[in-house]
Amino acid sequence: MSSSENVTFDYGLLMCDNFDEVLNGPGSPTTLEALIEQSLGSGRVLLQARGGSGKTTTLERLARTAEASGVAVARLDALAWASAQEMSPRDTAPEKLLSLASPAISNRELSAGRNWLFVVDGLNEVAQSFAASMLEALERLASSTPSVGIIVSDRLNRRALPSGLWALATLSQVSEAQVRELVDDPKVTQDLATLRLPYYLQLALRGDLGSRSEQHRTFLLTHGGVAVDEMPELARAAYLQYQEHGDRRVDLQAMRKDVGDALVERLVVAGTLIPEPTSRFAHHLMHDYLAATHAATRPGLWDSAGLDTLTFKATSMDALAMVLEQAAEAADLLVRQVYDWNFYGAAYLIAEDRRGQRKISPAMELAVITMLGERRFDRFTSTAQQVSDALRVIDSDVARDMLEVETKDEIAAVVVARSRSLLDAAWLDDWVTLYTRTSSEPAQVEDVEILASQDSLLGWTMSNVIRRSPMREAVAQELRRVASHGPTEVARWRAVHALGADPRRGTVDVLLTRLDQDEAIWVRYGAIRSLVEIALIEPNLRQSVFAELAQRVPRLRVEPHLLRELERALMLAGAPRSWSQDSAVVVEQLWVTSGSVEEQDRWRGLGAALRELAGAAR
Amino acid sequence: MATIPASGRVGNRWVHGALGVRMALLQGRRGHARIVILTVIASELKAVREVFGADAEIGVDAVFTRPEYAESADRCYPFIVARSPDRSNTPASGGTKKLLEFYRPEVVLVVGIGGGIQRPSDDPEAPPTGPNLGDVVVGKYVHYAPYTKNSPDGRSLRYVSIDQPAGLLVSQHAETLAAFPGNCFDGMKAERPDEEQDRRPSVFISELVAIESIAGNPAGEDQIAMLERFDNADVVDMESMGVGRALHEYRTDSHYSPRWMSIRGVSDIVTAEHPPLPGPTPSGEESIGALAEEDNNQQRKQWKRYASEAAATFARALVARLLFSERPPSEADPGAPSWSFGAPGGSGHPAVVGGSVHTGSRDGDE
Repeated sequence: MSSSENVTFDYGLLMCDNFDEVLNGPGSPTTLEALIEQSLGSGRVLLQARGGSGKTTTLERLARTAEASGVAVARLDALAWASAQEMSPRDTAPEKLLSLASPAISNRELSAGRNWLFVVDGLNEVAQSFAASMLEALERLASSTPSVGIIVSDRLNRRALPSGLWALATLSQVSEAQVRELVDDPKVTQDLATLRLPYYLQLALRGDLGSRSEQHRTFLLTHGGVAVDEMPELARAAYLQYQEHGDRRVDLQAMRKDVGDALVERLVVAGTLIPEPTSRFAHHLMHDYLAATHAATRPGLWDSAGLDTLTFKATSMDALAMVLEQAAEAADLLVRQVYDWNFYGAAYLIAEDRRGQRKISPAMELAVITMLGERRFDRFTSTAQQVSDALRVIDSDVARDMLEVETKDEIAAVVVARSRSLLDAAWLDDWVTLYTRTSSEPAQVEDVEILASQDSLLGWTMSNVIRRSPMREAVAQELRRVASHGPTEVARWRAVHALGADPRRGTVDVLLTRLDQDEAIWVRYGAIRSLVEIALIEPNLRQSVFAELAQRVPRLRVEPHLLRELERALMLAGAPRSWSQDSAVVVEQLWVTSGSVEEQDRWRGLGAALRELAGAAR
Repeated sequence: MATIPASGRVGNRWVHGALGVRMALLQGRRGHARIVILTVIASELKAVREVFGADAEIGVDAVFTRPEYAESADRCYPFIVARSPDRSNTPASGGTKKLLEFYRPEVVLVVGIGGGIQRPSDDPEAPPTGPNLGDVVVGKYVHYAPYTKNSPDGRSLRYVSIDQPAGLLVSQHAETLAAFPGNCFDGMKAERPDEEQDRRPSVFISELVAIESIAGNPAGEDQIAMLERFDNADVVDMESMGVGRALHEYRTDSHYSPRWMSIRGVSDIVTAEHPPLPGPTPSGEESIGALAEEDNNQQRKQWKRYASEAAATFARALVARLLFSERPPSEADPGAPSWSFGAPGGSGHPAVVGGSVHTGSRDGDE
């Protein structure tokens, strides 16, 4: 094993033409100098890469290179900006960005005839709603100040960018050759894919070996200032911090209370905990590991509330992979639980598992990927796009099959063929039988019982099967009953999902009630989607559904997650020519109740996109 | 340490701009243009490029200027011509913001076609008032029509903050040129699609109504109600609100104050009165009521080339006036030279004699 000192890893910068290239490659190699020039030329660069791939280090290299070339540099911690936002929400003025930067910059300095590079680290570390606001603020800064080039680091995801002027970049991984050269110890059995990430390679070179979780644990115990018996307490405290803040911040006072002053001091001295300017762990993956450690032994936390906590409402999935590593014996159960909460999360787990320890059963992989594949044909264009991205990331044989099928009906043949060789799961036959049920076979009242069952795979599969089957009023009634009084929130969510295929007045009323009254955000989320779907398939209900949704805009406004879903849901594949006019009452209400002119522009943009959609329908 | 190139190709992208010190105030990411001319549809871009001699593209940005300036080492252009990424206000807003950021112009001119609004004359025997096909309307005030609150009692107007066309551009330049258009339209090459070959475009300085969709059905009830509401407006377009909005949003620097104005050649007629006005169809037949949507489209198709060129020609004379004087240097800006077209007549400053003038309000002193 080589020493980590004085080793320069050979990962590089790649320019990408679009998010497909960022997510799937290949990208064009570029240099630090060229990326700086790009940022000054186009004003904005989004540098996306996986956790641990060297984003922060690369930003620092960019900053130093720029300074050496006479370009002034300011650095901004995205989390510090998000913290300031909590104190004064809606302050998205570019001046706020500048005042929080290091060094703080005045408008006068920006106009002094010098070029500035503005590097922003950790967009992935702030909550989704803050990230969107921050991108808006950065857009305004770039637009109004041509002397500034902005480079922002972020995790891999298809961000909605405020303009088409953003250039995209990513990082390649450390070459296999360099990893093999550096880690030549036969005791190292760790998967190569993880070691190609500089963060984990660095840990390995320090002697912290094993899975990612094992690496973090070894690091914390040997270099991080933590004793073995302190680990559970620290893990619990780290989880509670996520639960409290919904981002990577660490409230030192709470941490001291949870683990004691002595441990906090040791963490700070060891550099594990960074107290200034915003208290946090040295790397977000360290915090993820600790929170995951707490969750891994508590399946009770694998429900939607717990998984929301671990992932900041499904915006950052790294912690999930570390739960899987530490609960390998319950891998399939974890996947089922995660699938119940968020199918992209389940896809992420399968992708991570296929790169490493392969604890998830092939039967589970087939079922989950099949359900994802079906969503490629979803009416909601954003869902179809995200699912295709997820399948590309998984990149297994089944995932490739799902990307190749041209119609939803072809999926059943793939399932039958692939399942023949899988004999390891007793439940698989039942699932295959259910999934391949023909769409002409009417749904039965008893089907709703399966939909509401504890088994997430059968439950969601049944929800989708009912959606594509002829639905009698009796079945619809039972679905409405479960949607209203179902035993669990996920049962209600599945019922609400299925009701999107039942364009009857009674169903609309139930969905509206769920939207108004259900305590579970995912049920309300599903209700919005199903209501929009009904508005699409039943012209006679369209006007009243949109009028009802418009009435609820003021309440939806306080839940950014639901508001964003409404915005996305309106962009439907197969919308009729009148769609933009029909939905105008909702857009208008969003517009009228906007709190700022920038928000007005957001809804005006949605109106324009809907008119474009209607134009395409002609 | 590798050096950073002043400009050139980076990967598969073309990148301009030197690193290091440069004049800040009016320096955009791709240089500086004193005037930006924004067009929307292809016929507008074609007409403006022809009338201005903007045959050369700057880099590969789909931005054009005259060949002698395209390769300018200091990237300072008297004017550039660009096209909005799409029709309607939102793309126009985005396109304008991009041009402001990339070229930091003094003035943005929106040049293209629009729907002329006609209303009955007080004299029942007289023809309707308002611009005719092929005339030019300069927007001195922009209304944004679709922003309304619908209630059982009807629609109430709502308002969006935008920059209005600059008073100085309107009063000092557009109104003067409208009062003395002289031979400003003499160089037009497009033939009028009607029988009045000798007729020159009249120029109206008036209010403009920005909408979000093509005013394709002049008899449409909503459209008529909307145009009744704005009873002093002479022209309808789909982009001016977006441009005004972009400039408004851009007001973040007390030292930079770009101005704008909209110039529209009338390619089709819309009506603002109940019952819809009688008028000729494109085939010359008298129609009871306004043109049906299909006929309106046909009318626009027939007239858009001429209307585009009329607007571009007026814009050319206006740009010559705007660039007649140099921009003096200051501590934060090296200034910019004066500029002339050099033709027709050699002076570059358009001669102005005679012509037809329509300014001010319908209620006032036309």
